[in-house]
Amino acid sequence: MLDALAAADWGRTLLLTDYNTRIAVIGAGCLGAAAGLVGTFLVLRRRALMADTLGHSTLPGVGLAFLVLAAFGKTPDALPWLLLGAAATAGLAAWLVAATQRIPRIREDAALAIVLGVLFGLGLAILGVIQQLGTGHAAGLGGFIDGSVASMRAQDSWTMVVLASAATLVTIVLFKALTVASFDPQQARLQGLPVRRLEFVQLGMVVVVTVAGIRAVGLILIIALLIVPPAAARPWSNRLSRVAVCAAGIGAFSGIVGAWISALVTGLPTGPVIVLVAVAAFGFSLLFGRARGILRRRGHAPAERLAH
Amino acid sequence: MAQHPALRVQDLTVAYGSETVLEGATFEVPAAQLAAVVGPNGAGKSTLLRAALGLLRPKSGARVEFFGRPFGEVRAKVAFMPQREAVDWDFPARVIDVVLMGLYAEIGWFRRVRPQHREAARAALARVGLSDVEKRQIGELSGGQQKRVFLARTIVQGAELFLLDEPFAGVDAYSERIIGRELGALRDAGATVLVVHHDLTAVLRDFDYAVLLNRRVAAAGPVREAITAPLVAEAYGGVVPLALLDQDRDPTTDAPQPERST
Amino acid sequence: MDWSSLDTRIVLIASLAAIACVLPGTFLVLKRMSMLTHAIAHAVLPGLVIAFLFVGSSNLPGLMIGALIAGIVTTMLVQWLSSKARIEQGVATGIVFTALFALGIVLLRTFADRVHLHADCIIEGQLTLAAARKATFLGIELPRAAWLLLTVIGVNGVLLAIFWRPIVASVLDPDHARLNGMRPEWMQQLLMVMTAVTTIAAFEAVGSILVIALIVVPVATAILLSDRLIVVFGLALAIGVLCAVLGHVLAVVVPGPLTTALLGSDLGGRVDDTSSAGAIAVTYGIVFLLTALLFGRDAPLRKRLRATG
Repeated sequence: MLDALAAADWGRTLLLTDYNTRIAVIGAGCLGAAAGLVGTFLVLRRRALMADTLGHSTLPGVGLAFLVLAAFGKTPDALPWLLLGAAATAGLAAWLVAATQRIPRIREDAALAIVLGVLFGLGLAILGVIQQLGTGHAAGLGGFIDGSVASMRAQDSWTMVVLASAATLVTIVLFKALTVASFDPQQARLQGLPVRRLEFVQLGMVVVVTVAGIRAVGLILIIALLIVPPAAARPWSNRLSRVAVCAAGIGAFSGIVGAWISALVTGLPTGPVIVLVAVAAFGFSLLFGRARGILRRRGHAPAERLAH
Repeated sequence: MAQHPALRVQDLTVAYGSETVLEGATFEVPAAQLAAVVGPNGAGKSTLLRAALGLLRPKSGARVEFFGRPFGEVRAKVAFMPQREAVDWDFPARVIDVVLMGLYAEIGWFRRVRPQHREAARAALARVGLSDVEKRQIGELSGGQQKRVFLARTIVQGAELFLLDEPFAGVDAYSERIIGRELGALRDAGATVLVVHHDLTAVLRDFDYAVLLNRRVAAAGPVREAITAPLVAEAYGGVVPLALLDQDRDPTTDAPQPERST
Repeated sequence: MDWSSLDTRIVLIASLAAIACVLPGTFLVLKRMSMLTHAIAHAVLPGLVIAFLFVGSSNLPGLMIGALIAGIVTTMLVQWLSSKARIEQGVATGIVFTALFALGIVLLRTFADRVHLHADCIIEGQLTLAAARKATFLGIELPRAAWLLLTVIGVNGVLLAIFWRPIVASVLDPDHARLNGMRPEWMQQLLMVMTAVTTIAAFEAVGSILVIALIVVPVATAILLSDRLIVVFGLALAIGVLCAVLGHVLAVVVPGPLTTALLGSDLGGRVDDTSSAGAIAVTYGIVFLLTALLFGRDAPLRKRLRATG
């Protein structure tokens, strides 16, 4: 697929000549790799839909940051500040989910749904106000819901690269500890690992990836980047380290190819194309995966648990 | 009815993926007996009960008869008490509501719950010593109390065959006494009771009939014939002295649960 | 504040949507499938776009059928992935809805000249399926949305009245239900279809985000207040309607003075219906929070109420 595109002359020229696009494609690749890696642990801990709630919860943060910037008379579309706001409310959402779950009778699914609905609603209410303030730049905020690489400037892409690389690095450094803590928290605690702090770091990395990705992929679809690559990687191996590497690879592939396609075809939105590439990889893996693919599974004893 | 055993199981095999958890189980439970299914962890005790009731799909060729008839024809004569894990304890239902659910088959989908239904439910709760908590939400009870609520729901169905999955697992001594007493009372009233049990000593002491299971039926018969030292030693892997068997009180479930039939 | 007939109609639709959502919502929350409605609300997009291409904008039943098919495909795919392909339910839900939503957006952009839908409107709730223009929503479409919601309430109400006991038994203890001949797997499918229909009908009126709030939060709040299912159900209906009214009032009253106070500008005027959806969702959140703090299991007020009653 890549070759066919690269062979197309117009595609190559477009890619080589346009600096913005090239950086955006590289950024999407970094983002995909980071999301695949971080998402592997999210899926392992059975918290996939947490990514959905965190993604949606960035909206009020973006809106509030915008309002604050506007109130101080700054240019209100400075991406790092908006992302800081997004990270703040996403972090708040993670805390709220945990707190809500502690209320007797309220289970995780309800906690996730409540926080998602309420915080996104708050975001919409804030956006409603912003639109009526009549400040310029407000239109750019819509990009956070949808996601679009086309409107990203090079510095926006670099922000994405930096955040994604940071999340990747932290996850690689803590890989062993995160593995043990996710696989068997009790055992990990007995071994003296700071399980709660690791959980905190892990969710923190999810927030970082989410925030890094909302500009390009959009806050609705960011969950896909975090969970589809790990799900696509899972059928290929029963070993976590391989699943993680494979997820990062599939994520990077989806990011690069998706951003590339959307850059080549005007009007095609980036986030959805990246997601569709990842989902195609997932479908392929589900059928042909070596370890658990549906077509390869017959006659084998089911391998139930994921080995380290 | 007297000529048929309360439960007859023939060639019941259940597999989970490629792993067979129950193989060709064949046995009978005569009517009006207090019977126990015993065996080591992973022997397929719960699987046996659930597959016999059609809650799990057995492999083809199995035949299960209740009083000589298929389950669908004698539904009302059979009551089942699930393991604790099968129930949603957070559900907004009070103790009395749960017991009344045992009467749903009788009340039907639309008719109102009548005072006599309420009385029957209260009477069942009184039998298991829970009259004072009938308005409590089920999740607020202790493990032993929860077991007794579901015993009350089972009792209130007025069945002739009672199947209970681990009614004694993880309960306090008081609850254990009450549950044992009520099971005995059901048997004395002419019903048949089949219980998944983990405590061989208690079975030897209190039960009439036993099915010794270790993926296959190792023995089935009057308790003194089914639970003998050599048979038990074989089923439990050879070295378990009978005197120590009552310490095998691990309340965890046995085999991985096969998929439910749909 | 000026209360116009427009406000009345917005409140009416939001209240009807709340009632419609509580009917299946109660059981969805009890079955721990709260996030499914969120997935459905997003996943219907390709169904809508394709239906739009075939039947055009004015054919509401056609659009509903397109959306419904997509909604049912969603629940079936999620069930298939989690049972047959052994993918955890949350992951399966996430994959299916994002895949369909992404497909929907791509279709939307591809046929942008023929399909006059805006993804933003679907999310934020300015949407009428017929047209994205706000004015239409306020004028002509409003009765249609109310009518649609009333139909859904009627059908769901009748279904719930018929199947109440089997559904309750199936959620609390599926084995018991099955042994008593109640077919829990059919009840599950019934709930899924009810959820899909309700989600689609409600989000046609109020947007996908408010739908998840409407389905989950009133029930979650009511669960904190009672141990009896029928009481939970009634309380959820009441909370749903009250917060819908209150939320819209807040949307009209609060933003103007608040923005003036915070930003020192008087540009913030009346807030349109988009923010009503947001404000209603926030109101649900506030009421849930207050309920948890005041009447939650460990809250002092609840203990006092218990002691007296």
